Order: sequence, then structure tokens, then C-alpha cells
Amino acid sequence: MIRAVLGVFWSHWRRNRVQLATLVLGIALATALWTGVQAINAEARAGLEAAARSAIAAEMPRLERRDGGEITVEDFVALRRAGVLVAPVLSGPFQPRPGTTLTLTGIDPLTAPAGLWPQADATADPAAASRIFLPPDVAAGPGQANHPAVPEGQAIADIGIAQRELGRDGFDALILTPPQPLGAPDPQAVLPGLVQVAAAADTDPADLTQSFRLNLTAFGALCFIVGLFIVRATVGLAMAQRRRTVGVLRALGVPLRLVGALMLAELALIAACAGLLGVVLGYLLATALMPGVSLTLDGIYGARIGSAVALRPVWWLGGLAIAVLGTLASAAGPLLRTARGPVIAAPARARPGWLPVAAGLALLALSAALAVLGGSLTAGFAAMAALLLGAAALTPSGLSLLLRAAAPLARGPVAQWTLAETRAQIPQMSLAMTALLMALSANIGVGTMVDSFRRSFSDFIDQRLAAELYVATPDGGAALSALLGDDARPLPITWADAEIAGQPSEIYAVVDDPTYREDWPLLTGAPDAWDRLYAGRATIINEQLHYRSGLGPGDMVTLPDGPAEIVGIIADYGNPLGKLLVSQPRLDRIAPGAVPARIAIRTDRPQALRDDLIAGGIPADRIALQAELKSVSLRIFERTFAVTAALNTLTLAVAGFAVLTSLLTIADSRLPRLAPLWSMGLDRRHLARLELVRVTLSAALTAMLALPVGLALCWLLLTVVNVEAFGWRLPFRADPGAWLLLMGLGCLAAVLAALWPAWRLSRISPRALSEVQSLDQ
Amino acid sequence: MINRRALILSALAASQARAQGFAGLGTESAGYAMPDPARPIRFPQDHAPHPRYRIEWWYLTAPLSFEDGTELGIQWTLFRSALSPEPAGPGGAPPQAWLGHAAVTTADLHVVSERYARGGTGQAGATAAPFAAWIDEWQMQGATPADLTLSAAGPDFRYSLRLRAQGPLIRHGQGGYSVKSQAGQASYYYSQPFYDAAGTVDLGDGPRAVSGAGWLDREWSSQPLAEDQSGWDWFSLNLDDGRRLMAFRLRGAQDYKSGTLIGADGKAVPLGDGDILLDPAAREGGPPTRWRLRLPGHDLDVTITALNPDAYMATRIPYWEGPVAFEGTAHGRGYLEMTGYTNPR
Repeated sequence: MIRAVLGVFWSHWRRNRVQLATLVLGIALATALWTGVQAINAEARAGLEAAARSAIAAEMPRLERRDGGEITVEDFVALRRAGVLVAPVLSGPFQPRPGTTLTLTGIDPLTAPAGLWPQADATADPAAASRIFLPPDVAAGPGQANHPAVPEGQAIADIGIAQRELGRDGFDALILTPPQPLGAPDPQAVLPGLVQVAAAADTDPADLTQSFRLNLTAFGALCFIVGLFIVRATVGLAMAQRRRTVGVLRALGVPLRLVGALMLAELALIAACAGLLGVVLGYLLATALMPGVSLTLDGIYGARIGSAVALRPVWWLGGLAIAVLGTLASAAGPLLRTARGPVIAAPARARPGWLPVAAGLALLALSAALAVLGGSLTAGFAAMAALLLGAAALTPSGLSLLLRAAAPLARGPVAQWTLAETRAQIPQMSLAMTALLMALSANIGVGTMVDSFRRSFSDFIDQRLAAELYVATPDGGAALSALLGDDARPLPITWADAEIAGQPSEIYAVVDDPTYREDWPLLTGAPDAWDRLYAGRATIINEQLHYRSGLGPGDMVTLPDGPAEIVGIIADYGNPLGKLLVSQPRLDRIAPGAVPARIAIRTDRPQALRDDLIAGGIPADRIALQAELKSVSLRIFERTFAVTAALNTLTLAVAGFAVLTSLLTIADSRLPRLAPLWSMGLDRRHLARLELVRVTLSAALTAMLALPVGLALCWLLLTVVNVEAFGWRLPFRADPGAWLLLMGLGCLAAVLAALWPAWRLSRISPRALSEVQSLDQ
Repeated sequence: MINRRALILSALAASQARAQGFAGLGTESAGYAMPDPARPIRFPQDHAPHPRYRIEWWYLTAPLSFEDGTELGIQWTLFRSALSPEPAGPGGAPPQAWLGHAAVTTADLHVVSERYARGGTGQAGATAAPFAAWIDEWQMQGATPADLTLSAAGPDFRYSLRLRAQGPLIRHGQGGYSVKSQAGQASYYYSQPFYDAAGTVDLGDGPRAVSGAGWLDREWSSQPLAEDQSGWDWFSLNLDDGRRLMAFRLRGAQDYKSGTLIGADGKAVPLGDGDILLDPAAREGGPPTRWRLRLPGHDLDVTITALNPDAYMATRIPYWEGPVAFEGTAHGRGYLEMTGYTNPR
């Protein structure tokens, strides 16, 4: 009997090849979307870690010789023996073989801060310490070894080997390695010839890239839900089409249990094959998108990471699981319905009843409750999932409501029929339209978030980099001041670390200069905030400190030298610490003797001034031009967002495919509905146009529903997820143009998907239509 | 005592280290000098480092008290490990790596710091005269081992002590040749167990005066552990009657116990495997921090308790080391080191 049933199944697929193809392709695409995003996510993460490792040296305060000369081994030993924990670094150009030049950095693995040396434990394999570590893409010769932690274009070796390769006796700098021992002396008191050097400008976007990673994770979760939905749509339709076959088999005496088991086994097999295909597609997709991701990280760290995609078990197994479990879960419902139904029954027509509406409303209420009361990152993500699922459950009812509202607008019988027919066909189209709604709202949400992010970052860069020139001043600025003429206004950047309201914070001095009043807008605050700050008794705090301490304008905060009133809040994206701005005299009281580590300079001729400073003896690598910093920083984020855009497009394409699948699978059942119109004189082309209009109408209304859902998603990302994860809120920036474009693209995807079924309809033989009509009678 | 303390350094020396013994101490030692029972330890020559031996250490432990009587202990250790038995160049010394461990332990606090250095730069080293050993600013120094200053610091502690010997140097085993296993693995081992210690300890709230006793161990070898030995339990005890006791147990296929009972006058009696009875109290997971130690031939039966059971050295190769107190037929304080146990945390 099993063989006979399997024969029936097989003949069904043989007769309905398009159906089989859409089932396989639907599952494969959903899997591909998930695995592709996961692959990109995993690789981006691994790459960020490698890049972050290489960035540590640059992020740590260093000691250099004031005269720019080499630091000797004796200097290093003198500091260590005095109790200052320092680690030597040295770098220079290195040719592992002719034609390839890398930057070789020498590190002492025994004293370097954790993470600088490529191996986790330098002592575990001392033989390795005699090798030069190369990035994975450079062939290693004798005495060399490839290591995935070495960024492209770099090489890492023991400091002794680096000295030998670079022909040097000393070091470039000594990294101050935290934590220093209790009561460690001031390094400059030990060796007066040394200066402590900070980076020229503090625009480290590390925390912002964390945000990017989190958004990629959120996007991966959305893709998971959309993917499951598409599998559900495809499988649900395939099951519905075979209900008659199942009925016939049962009428012939095959036990339902056996039919069900065989169908599940068959679907699991198809799902596994389709899932495997999807994993391969996802891999190809990731490989195609990966150069973009690589480029993004490239920009962020100035170090290129590898663009290879490794096939990680986590994501390909996850993809297969989505395919098989998603398929089985989707098939379970229809199977149960079949089991409960009579042996031979007309295809049940699911109507949007009260149950999905109640479930949808409950999910939306849950989402709102989680967003307001949640108070954690998990709650934020759960709120997003509940919102999306709730919106999905309400989609058919929402479409129905909109169509009913539109009914009075229809003029003429054909228009009225189209509108009514669209509404009547909602149950058949609901899965496809729900998939479209989810894809569209995810895109609107993530797109708006990304755009808000970009514009806020641009404003932030304008604020953070208001001055034209930035100079690192390890000497406190004495040498620089002597070189500045009347046409340059120096703004010393001086700060002291302190714990304020229980939060690790930095207290910055601001001098009274129009720069701050004009370029540092307050998020909230008194109109005379800056005047009161300069008067000495008030402070302006950053958003992070505001959220973490609960303190706001009007509150008093205790500084090391006494209380101060908070008069305003400024945005400070990407800063993990609390920040307080006070007047220069006040900081002098809080931290007597604190000297500026950097000086910002307002000038009308930045390029010329830079040349003057270099001619006056300031090392070029201590001077940063605002224009260059700005363009670099902004380019980083343009690239970051390019990846998100590519993924958005893909989601829409998959949703479009779901629409195509639905249309193809219901194409046959459309004929009895259209035949009467044909017999009343509407030609086939006209009918095809009506079908296109119907799909377009459904898609357009779905897009209208998707807009509020997408904006709600965006709101959750900006004000719940980001605040929970990073302590700052991204301001919402409306971009109606982008929303219209996305909605248009969603409709376009649906219309493109409807073109082929419509074309088939326009070419259908009149006999088929007349046969349908006669059968119907 | 033993091979104990060679811990990490040996890991620097041999990549296959972890496979054998604890921290590679049971590793092959071809090319290195080996201890010779026919050649006893000689002073002052043997105060100098022994670079032809694979591992060596300078180890000082001191059970101390603050002025209000609150008990604490400090540890100061410098390990030397030869990276190769052969000199790096003609006329040079074999390449060395150095490792320092320092710790302060009170009943409710255990703070640890760890330092690494390569040999040949002066960042770490040791000399015989003056008697000195150092890594970074950590330093043990005196004209002779009889009068030392000792200092170390970590992110959350700093100490500085003066140590004055009240008795002679003690050679363990046979003239300093100390056997570590039935198979004959051995090291050179001598101690100064008679220090009076005084100085200051700063735990972040300013230096406070401390006083108590101190115990110096010097040991060097090339393969001190048998391959099957996985760790050890080592005791240094200062008895109130002026005697000193060093005892250890090496855990392996067959346990190996040894020790030295030192009279108040400095007369040393070697203890063999059968002279020492050592029983850990019931424990949960980690190393036992309560012990019963008996020397039936010397009417000694004491129960030893750790001042702070959480005295784990959170160093790259972790172990347990901390001050102890004991009572029974004798009373006093001392130090306990345990290696090769699973850290339950």
C-alpha cells in the first residue's frame, strides 16, 4: 500500500512540476536569506574581532621620545624597574617576498597587553615566538606562519625578530599597559625625555560599530521570521492543493495515519533537499555581498579584513533546521485539518475569523507592554517579534477593512467586481500578502533606523569635529602656542576622569568660544545654559550619564569640588562613558595641573597652518585635519549602510517570490471565477489586466499597512533596543521619500510576480475557459 | 619542597609540556645539566643562578600579622626558565625567560599579580653577591641571604619587607640533593626558614605595619617530576617551639612524600616517605584546605587550616597558595601550596 501511495504522490508532482519547483524554490530562498544573513553576520563578527585586536595598540596611550627619536632597550628596562608597566612596539615596512610589502609590527609577547599577540597564550608555544605571523592571504615561507588574527596588510613578530628584520636597535614607542601597579610613578618623572601621546582626534567609532553589529543581528532575526513565513506560505498552498488527492486516497481505504506520515516524510525529504540548495544559495549570496561587508569594516578600522566566507556549521545547520522544521510546522496545520474533516470534502475556505484578529491584537498589546515595561535588550527584541507577528495576524482583516472602505470609490461594474473579487480572494492571497507586509515593514523599519543613524552621526561629527585642526599635545601645548598667530583660536581639550553619580565619567573643560554655543546643540536645556556653565556653577552632561544616573536639567550633581546644577544635555553617540562639561576655571579646581592632551584650532586656513606647524617642529602624525577626518568617518558609514540596503532588496525579492508562488498555485482555481466575465464579453487580455490590477491593489494596500508597522519597528530599534544596548537614543528622522520608494518597490515586486501568471492567462485557450464554464454549470 | 613552583616557566620552555607532569615539569630534559648527588650545594657559589639547569626559583613566603593582630600572608616568587640548553651565540648564556608571582592573602582577600620578562635585557635577573633577584620593580636584595629587603606591587596591593635570618641556611635531602620520585627525579634545594619579617603592606588604603616570619626557598633542576606525577601538596610550618618543618607529597601513580624537620638550633633531620602521614580533610571539588599531618617518630600530630580557602593563584597556570595555621601537639603558622587540582571555579 505504501508503494501505491508513494506512486500517487510522485504522479502528483510529475503532473504539477511548477508546483514542485515553487515549493522547492520557496523553501530554498527562505533558507538562503537566513543563511546568507547569518554568514555575513558571523563573518563580520569574526572580522571585527580580528580588526579590534589589531586596533588595540593604537588605542592605548603610548610613551614616545619628545625629540621623536628611538626609545632604547635601556629606557624600557628603566621604566619597568621603576614600576611603570610598558610594552615596546616597533613597526616598519617588510617584504615577505619580492613585490609584497606589509607593515611589520614587533611586539614583546611577554609584556604586551592581552590581545596584541596573535596567539591567545604566547607561552603555550614558545617555538612560535621565533616566527613572523602573516595574514591568511599571504603565502608563508620558512620562519613565517599564517594566522587568522593578523589583519590584511600587516605582519606581527616578536620584537627581537622585528628589530632584526627592520634593522633597528630600539623601539618606536612604549605602550602603557593597564592596570598599572598600586602607586606606580609618573613615567615622565622616571625618564624626562619621554612624552605621553594620545590619538590626535577622538573619533573612535568602536561603540557605533557595536550598534551596527546589533542591527545586523536584529535584521537576522527579522529574516528568520520572514523566512519561516515564506516556507509556511509555500507549504500551506502545496498542502491545500493536494487535499483532493488525500481525500481520494482515504476513500480508497488508506488510513489517514499512513497518508499523514508519508506526506510528512515526503515533505521532510523535499525540505531537506531544498534547504541544502538554500544553504548553497546563501553561501553564494554571502560571497557576493561579503566584499561590501569587508569594505565596511575596512573603513572602520583602516585595516582590511579577509573577504573569504567560511562555511560555519552554526549557520548552515540553522538554515537546514529552518527549512525542515519550518516545513513540518507549516504542514502540521493543514494535515490536522484534513484529519478532522470528512473523507471527501470541498476545499475549506479559510475566512479571516475572530481568532487571528484576537491573537493579533493580543500580540500588539504584548509588544507595547514589553516596549514600555521591558527594561532589557531581550524584551526589546521580543517586542519587535511580537509586533511583527501581531501585524501578520491582522493583515488579512486589515486588507479586508481597507477594501470595504474603498468600495464606494469603485465606478462601473467591472471596477466594482474587481474590488469585490480582490476582497473575496484575500484568504488565498493572505499568506503571500503577509510575507510582503513583513518584508516591507522590516525594510521600512531598518531603513528608517539606518537613515536616522546616518544623519545623527553626520550631525555628531559636525559637533565633535567643529574645529578645523586638531593637534595632539603631549607637552600640554607649550610648543604649539608659540607657533599660533592671531588668526587661529586654540580650544584646549582638557579633561579629568571621575566617578560621578556612581558612573565612570570624564569631566571636560570648555573655554568660552562661539564654537560650543553654535555647533554643540543641546538635546534639552535652559536657553542660558552655556552662560551659566561659563559662570562656573553649572554643568552640561551627556545623554549616557542622563539615562544611567536618572539626572536631568534642574538636578544637582556632586563634582569632586562641590555641587553643580545640570543645565543641559548633549548627544554623545558612541561614548561608553558619562561626560560632563564645566568651565575651564572649574576644571582647574577639580584637577589642578591638568593640561590639554589635545588642542582644537579654529582657523580660516587649516592647510596652511598645518604646514606651518610641521615646519615649526610639530610631528605630522600629531596633526589631524577636520576635513579629512570628516570624510573618512562619513565614508565608513556610507559603506555600512550599503550592506543593509543590499539585504533589504533581497528580502523584497523573496517576498515577491512568495507572491508569485501564491498566484501560480491558485491560477487553476482562478479560471472558474474569471470564466463568467469572459463569457460576458471581456477578452482574455482584459481579464489578465484585471488580475494584475487585483494583485497590485492587494500589494498597494499591504504596503499601506506595512508603513505604520515599519515605523513602529523603527521606533523600537531607536528608542528601546539602542538605549538598552548602548545608553543613547537615536533621534527619529522621518524620510517619507524613502518610505514611498520602498512601498513602490514592494508593489513592483508583487506586480512583477503577477506578470507571468497574467501572461499565461492572456494566452489561455478559449476552450479551457468554456470547459470551466460548462463544468461549473 | 619540590619542583613545585616551576609552574609556568617550564611551559615557556617546551611546547609539549602540558602532556607530562604538572606544567611540563616531567618533560624530557636532554642537553640540560642534571643534579648530581656526589656534588652537594656549596655556598656562596650556589646563591648564583644556574642557567644550565632548565628551571630555577627564588621563593619567599611570609605568614604575617598587622599591628592589630589581623593575620595575613605574602608570597614573592621569581621563576627562571631556560628556553634552550644551548647558548644563543658564542660565549653567551642560554636564552632565559623569567616569571614573577606576588600575592597578599588575608582571611577575606587574595590579590595576585604576575609578571613576565625575557632574559638578557636586565628587566629580570638574579645575582649571588649581592644576593639579589628581581623582575621589574619587584625585588629581593641583600648583601647575603641573611639580611634581605623584599618588595612587590600589583594593581591592588604593594608591600615592602625587611627579612633578617635568625638561624642558618638549610640544605634539604642529601647535602641539598632532594629526591622527588621513586624513579630518582631530583632537584637541588635549600632554604632559609628562620627569617624575622617586618615592614608594610598597602591594600589600597595606605601602608600598614606588619610583622611575622619568613621562609626562603631556592631550588633548581632540569626534570624534577616523574612523568606520571600530576601535582603536589607542599607545607612550610613554623612551630611555636622554634622548630621548622618542610614536608611535601607528590601525587602520581604512587604518592611520594619527603621533608625536613629542622631543630630550633638549625639541625636538619631528613624525613623519608614512611616518616610522614598526610591526610586531606573531606573536600568539595577544589584542593583540600584542611589537612592532618603526623610525624609518628617525632610525636607530632597537627591539623592544618588555610587562613583563606579561596587563595587561588589566578595566574596563567593556576594553583593554590596561601597562609595556614595549625594546632594539635604543636601550634604555629606557615604556608601551603597545592598544584594540579581542578579549580572548582
